[in-house]
Amino acid sequence: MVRRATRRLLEPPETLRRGPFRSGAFTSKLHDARVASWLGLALGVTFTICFATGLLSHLIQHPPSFVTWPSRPAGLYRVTQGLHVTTGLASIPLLLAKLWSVYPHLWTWPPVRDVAHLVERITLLPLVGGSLFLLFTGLANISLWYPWRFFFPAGHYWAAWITIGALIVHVGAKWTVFRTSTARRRVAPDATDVDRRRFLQVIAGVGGLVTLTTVGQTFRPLRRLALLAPRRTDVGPQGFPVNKSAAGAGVLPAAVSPAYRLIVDGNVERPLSLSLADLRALPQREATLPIACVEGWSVSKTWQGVAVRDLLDLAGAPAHAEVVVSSLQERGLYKASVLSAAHAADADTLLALDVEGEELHIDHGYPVRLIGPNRPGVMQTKWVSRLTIS
Amino acid sequence: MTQSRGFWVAVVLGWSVMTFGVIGLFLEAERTHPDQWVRWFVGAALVHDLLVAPAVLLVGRFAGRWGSAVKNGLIASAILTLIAYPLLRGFGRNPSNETILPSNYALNLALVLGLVWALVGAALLLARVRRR
Repeated sequence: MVRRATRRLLEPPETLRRGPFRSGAFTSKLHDARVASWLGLALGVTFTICFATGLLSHLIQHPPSFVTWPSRPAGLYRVTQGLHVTTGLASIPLLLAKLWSVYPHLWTWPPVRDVAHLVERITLLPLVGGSLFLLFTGLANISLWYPWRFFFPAGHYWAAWITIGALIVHVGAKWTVFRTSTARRRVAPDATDVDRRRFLQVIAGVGGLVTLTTVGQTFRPLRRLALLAPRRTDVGPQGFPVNKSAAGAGVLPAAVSPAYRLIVDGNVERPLSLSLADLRALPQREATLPIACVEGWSVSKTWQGVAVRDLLDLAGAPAHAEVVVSSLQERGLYKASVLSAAHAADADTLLALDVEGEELHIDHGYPVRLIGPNRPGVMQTKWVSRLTIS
Repeated sequence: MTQSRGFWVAVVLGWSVMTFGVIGLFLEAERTHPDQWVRWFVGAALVHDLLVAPAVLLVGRFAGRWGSAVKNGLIASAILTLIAYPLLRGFGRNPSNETILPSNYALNLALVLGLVWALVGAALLLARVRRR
């Protein structure tokens, strides 16, 4: 099969060899296998990090029965998702530079040499299209820009599988080229080599600059440098950002109504219906936990409220109970979230009434919000109205 | 150049993963809108290959006589501006939530580009000093 697959295909007529197909049509010294190889290596690393952290975030939000995501360490999701977005942003200069370094190959002559070459080239469409798609949709998503109709997480997730599959083929196709072109050379570098090296340094520098000016939205020590971050961790009601406001979620006036009750029901011995005053009368616990958004910003706060497990005890829920936490929101995918047994039993999983000693702002989920360790922000349900125990 | 057996292993593995992705995309069609999704996926490659890269090529023709420091400054500025574009245009701004895109991004990008061109200036100065 291998011999068949590597048999040369028919040569196209020479008269078609015009425009970008001419030999010597491209003159930039940066169209170079060595440059492409180093950039390819860097992208291989960043795309692997993005794929692993993205897959993890997906599995946490859509857990298959055989995976349990632990509630500890409390800040783990903050790190993995911060890494996802930071690495993705740093990949943008790498990808653009990489595509420039290999651009003449798009117009290679003959367009197809043999079956192996054909397979390799066909796979470039999902590789290039997918890489650009992932970085562009990710960049747009962190600034909440949606110029398309598909649901971002689903579109981004399936594109990631297709791109990583194409990347596997590409690594297989380019392994030898990579080994040869990155091998140590004996000759002294000439002026062209210096230019190429400088180009790689500039691209690395741009990647570094992008990281420095955005990572402050999740990494506190660099928050003052977050010039190009879509969020600032100190801007918002009570001094931190909001993803969905009360007005946007349509929970007014229910959230401020004196008729508000928190219902605890399902598989319990004593279903509960608690007013805000009832909740305040229960033992109050405190926990310092990050709110870590899937869009890559995060901020740590000290929350006060009732521990979910205290409420479960009060209602007589079975051990290892799972809990569905529902919001006053009537629409949207994030109107409810599931607390796994591990999260429900964690003493720091709170129904918070206060943050930093102040009653929660309506946009942060007044009267009651869920806040638990090691969870994506979209699963920290706000304006909680019901706990359903199973 | 003939490809090794390893290449064909990678092809089988990679195309299996890609097939998984395509099946997932269509099974979740009510959320992924495959017709639109494909337009963005293929469109991204076409826009790059037929518009962006030729545009860079064209600028490169003009930039031929400029020094490498200036060219590198242009490359860095273009990429940074591209990344800042959604922030500059403020597409995601929402009157009910002022914590989205809270900064003056035109000013902030100007500061970052100022740093880039200060470095370009320093490189030019250093080159002139060395030549003497």
